Amino acid sequence: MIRRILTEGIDEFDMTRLDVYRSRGGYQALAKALRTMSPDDVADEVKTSGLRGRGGAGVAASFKWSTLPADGRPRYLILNGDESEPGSFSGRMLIQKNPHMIIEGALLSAYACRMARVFIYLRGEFYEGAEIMRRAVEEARAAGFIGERILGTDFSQEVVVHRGAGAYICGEETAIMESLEGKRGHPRTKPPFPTAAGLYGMPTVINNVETIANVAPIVANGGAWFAAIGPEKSPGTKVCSVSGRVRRPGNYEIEMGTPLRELIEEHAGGLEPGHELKFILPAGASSALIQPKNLDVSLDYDSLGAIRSMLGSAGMLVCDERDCAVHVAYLGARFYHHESCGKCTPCREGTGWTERVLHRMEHGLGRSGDTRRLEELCRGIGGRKCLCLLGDFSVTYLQSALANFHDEFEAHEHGGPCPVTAALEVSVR
Amino acid sequence: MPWDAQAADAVVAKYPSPRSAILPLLWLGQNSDGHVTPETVERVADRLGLNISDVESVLSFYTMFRTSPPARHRLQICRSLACAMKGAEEILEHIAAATGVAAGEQSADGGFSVEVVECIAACDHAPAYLCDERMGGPLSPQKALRLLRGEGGDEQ
Repeated sequence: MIRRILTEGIDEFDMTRLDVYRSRGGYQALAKALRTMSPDDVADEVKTSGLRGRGGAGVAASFKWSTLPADGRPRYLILNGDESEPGSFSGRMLIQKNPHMIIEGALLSAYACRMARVFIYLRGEFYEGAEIMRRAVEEARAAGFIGERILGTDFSQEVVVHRGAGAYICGEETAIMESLEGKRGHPRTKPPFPTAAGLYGMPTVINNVETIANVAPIVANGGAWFAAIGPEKSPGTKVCSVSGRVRRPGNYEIEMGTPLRELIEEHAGGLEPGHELKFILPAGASSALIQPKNLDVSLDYDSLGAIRSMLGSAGMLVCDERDCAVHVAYLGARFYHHESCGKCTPCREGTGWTERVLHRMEHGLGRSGDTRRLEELCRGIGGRKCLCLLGDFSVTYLQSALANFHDEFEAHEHGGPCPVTAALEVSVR
Repeated sequence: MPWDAQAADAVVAKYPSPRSAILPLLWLGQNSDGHVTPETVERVADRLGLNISDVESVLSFYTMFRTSPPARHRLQICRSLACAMKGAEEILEHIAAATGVAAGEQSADGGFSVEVVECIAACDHAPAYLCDERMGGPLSPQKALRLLRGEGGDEQ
């Protein structure tokens, strides 16, 4: 079911304005924390809440926080707003419509973890989002929520809005640090993990903007309140982005555990009239497809993992019978080849090779053995052979498509127009 | 905002390490001149104590920086999954047929350019576009031609 925590009021009110956000309870969690709670108290509430990272991996937010070494070095918090996964656009909405909730969450997180500085990293294409976020930061600063001695307490915090300049890879947590350090966005070797040696070599936490936005309501209402929402191991809500062949594409904030069927059929209005669901990519281009028979799966980290897919960023791309599995694979391959940063060989060479094979299959020039070639490429690229997961992501959908729609790939080995859509045109006639 | 020493200092002051200011300073230069000029590269290197090659290496990695003057109007059409499924390629073909300008090209008079981009996080408005700095969608062939003429379109 729809449950609005992060999106509460954003359609009715201009929450980008500080006075509106405050009139609806905004910055009260910060005031409460600074006046009545220690940093550890705030961290404990977030631990109790069970909040898991909303960017993709689903790691408990408190786990990253708790692994920060207590060695007196400056610590940094980076909010990841480099949303670039095809099919994901929930971050864009939160940044544009509820920037103060993100800022308040960032301040609370910085207080809990004793951060030296907060960086809000926004992808370069978010011109409007960056403008809104900058204005919100300045408004919050003028009102005494950012800067020296916040609300008259000993807590001081600086928040810097930093814009990227076009690179999918900078959403990766080590590449985002390289980018912030003013370098090419190449991933780093792990370990060391960012909490041990991150930005400028200092302990660093990188959290998605949606993860951080949850912190203000958690502190306001208590960790136990949050933990009671949805399934035990995936508490809270998730803003799901639904796009593709549905009647009402858009962002829907649902309680975790809501059936996928309800999201697609009720909230997103179902498939376009006269068309039939073929498959869904639940976490954008980099996720294993979900078949219609699994439409009753509950939307939470573990349930989607159990059917060998993932919740990830919950960018749901819905495909119907018009979407050839090979065509979707080609679009994905083209994307990953374009976005591979070029550092690791399996990804750099493999994404290009995969695109070339799919390009010829898609353009009527497929060759005998291409399907098997793609299977070999998946094995050659995937399996954590690279510094980051971009290479693995590039073959996740492809592997699931090869397994579920093997015949469609084989049918593209013999040249000519797409046999899948061609068959469709005959049946329509 | 034009480049001046004061604006550059204000940017550098936000970061614990000066080098972090590369991207913001390149943005400053591009916003003021329309593209990143060789002078901007020199200024950035000079201000941050870096080699010109360091700055150029960063400049060339990020796709949004331009090193030549842009057209008056720039239409960037998303071609990633949702947008391709909703006809982005057909719109590009329509534009090419109607204007003779293909993706990646600029019109002869410098009035507009057409580019393809990867996912801009606007799949709910597929086929989505960026026209200059405005994000919008869904794009139609007719709307694309209006945007290229500088007549605007509906915003997101």
